Amino acid sequence: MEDRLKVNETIPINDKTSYFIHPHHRMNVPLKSTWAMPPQVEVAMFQVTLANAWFQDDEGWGLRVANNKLEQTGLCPEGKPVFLAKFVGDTGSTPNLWHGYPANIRVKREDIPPKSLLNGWHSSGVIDEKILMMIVRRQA
Amino acid sequence: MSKMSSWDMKPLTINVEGKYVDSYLYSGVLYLFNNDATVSKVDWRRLIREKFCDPESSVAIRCAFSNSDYLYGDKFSFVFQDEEIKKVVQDRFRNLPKTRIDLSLSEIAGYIYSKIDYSEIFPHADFSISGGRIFASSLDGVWRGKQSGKQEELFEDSEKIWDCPANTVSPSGGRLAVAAGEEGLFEAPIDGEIPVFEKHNLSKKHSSSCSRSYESIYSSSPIGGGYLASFDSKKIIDIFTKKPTTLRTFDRPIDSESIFGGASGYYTWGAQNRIYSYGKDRTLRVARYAPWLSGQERFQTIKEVSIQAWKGEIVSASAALFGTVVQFDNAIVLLRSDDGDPITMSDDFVNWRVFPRSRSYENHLHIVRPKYLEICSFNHDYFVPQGSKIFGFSRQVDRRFSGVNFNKSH
Repeated sequence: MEDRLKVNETIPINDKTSYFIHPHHRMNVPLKSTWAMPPQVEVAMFQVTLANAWFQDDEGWGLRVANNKLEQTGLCPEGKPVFLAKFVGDTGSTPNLWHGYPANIRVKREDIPPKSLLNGWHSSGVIDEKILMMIVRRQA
Repeated sequence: MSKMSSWDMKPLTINVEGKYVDSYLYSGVLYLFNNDATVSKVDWRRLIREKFCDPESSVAIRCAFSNSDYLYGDKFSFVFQDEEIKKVVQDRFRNLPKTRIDLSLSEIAGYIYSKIDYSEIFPHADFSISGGRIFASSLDGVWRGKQSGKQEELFEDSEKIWDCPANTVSPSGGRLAVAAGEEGLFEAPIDGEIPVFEKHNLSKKHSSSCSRSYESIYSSSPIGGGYLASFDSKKIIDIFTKKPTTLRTFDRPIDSESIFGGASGYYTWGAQNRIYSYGKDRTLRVARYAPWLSGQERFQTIKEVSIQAWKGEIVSASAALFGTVVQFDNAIVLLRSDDGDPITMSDDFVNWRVFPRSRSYENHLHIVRPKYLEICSFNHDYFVPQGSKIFGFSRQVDRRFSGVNFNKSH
């Protein structure tokens, strides 16, 4: 992947999928969460989500764990750090066009990963019990 | 009684080996929520009775882990007015040979009634039992059921009563309070056989946890500071039964800024007669809440303490009789009811809870560690005059108490 990706850039991921670096989450737009990670990390997170099929319908979730701790993905509009990513796709287009943003699970119900995905992360060892309970208690 | 002697009632710990996500103690049964989506029901009362039957230590261990009501309760309060008896009990705590007990999986195996599938609800955000009814909240809703009389069951007639993600369920006095995130704070009657979950939205402001403050409910939130859902109550004669009863009516939500006179607090919490605020200036403020007074007189800030920066940002907090427990990014801190030096505990944990409404375990702090459950029993509060406490709410409230003001760094 290119070292420096830019806002508004669309990156082909494979024959069926492209990823768009959305300006809403890079340019301090009111009421939108803002990425704390560079665009190339955002895209890498999406690729992990794609590779592991961490999806439900046309929504996906991503995370990065280092030393048994969740890495911060961004800031919510209220200025608090958030630790998950959510990806949304236009699956009607060809190729499917996706974009993502730092998920604000404290406040936005629709940003919460589905229970089946959360339990899958836990049972496959992607997250430990501490991170599981942080997400369940909406503290991530 | 001096501070020094109250602290001689050492905190005691039982560590229970295993990988858990939560624990709950109710009516002699320890519920261990295993990390494999099962629940183990443990005969905790029998375990304490049989494992610690040595006459030298059994009084202290039973009071510490199984029956805080022996020392807190009204039944024996007259006994402890006798200084000699009080001294004997304190000596039992002082003379315990060790303050930490480890129980291995094989040691608790004989006390496990059953291991029950919990995959329908696992993992829950909160779990609570009141009056034989069980409530659980999770990312996909709120559940209720009757506590089963059969030891191989958890619930009887369990059902999902609301499909809203909820953080805290707080049942008490025939009512269930639910902190439902961005949906706000709700309350519903739970007495009798109510087929429909008739919830009332007390506030649409964000609510991440809630607890009872007399007839009112304190709602906490990392978004927007928190508020007291204030209820008025008055004694009336029921026209049907002709008996005295309490009429409780919702007044309004009172923002934390009003409670603390505009002082900045970005996380606030409370229970009974104490409300706490933690601000961006790393100052923890304690207010006395006296609902029987009127207007702003109900709230009086009685203490401010500074918290060291290394502990990080506040994540959550709960009030208990023995003090207030605060979870920061890098530590769990107990500010003790006897105003002694705070206790700082490691942040290597999965979950924690206190039991402020319990009759027998109100002195417990359960911390789920990655490979064991740490059951901490704090016993310094038994002989602290309840009306003069700063941290920790009071068991019996002395309405004449007016509090003191002084600052100290922790």
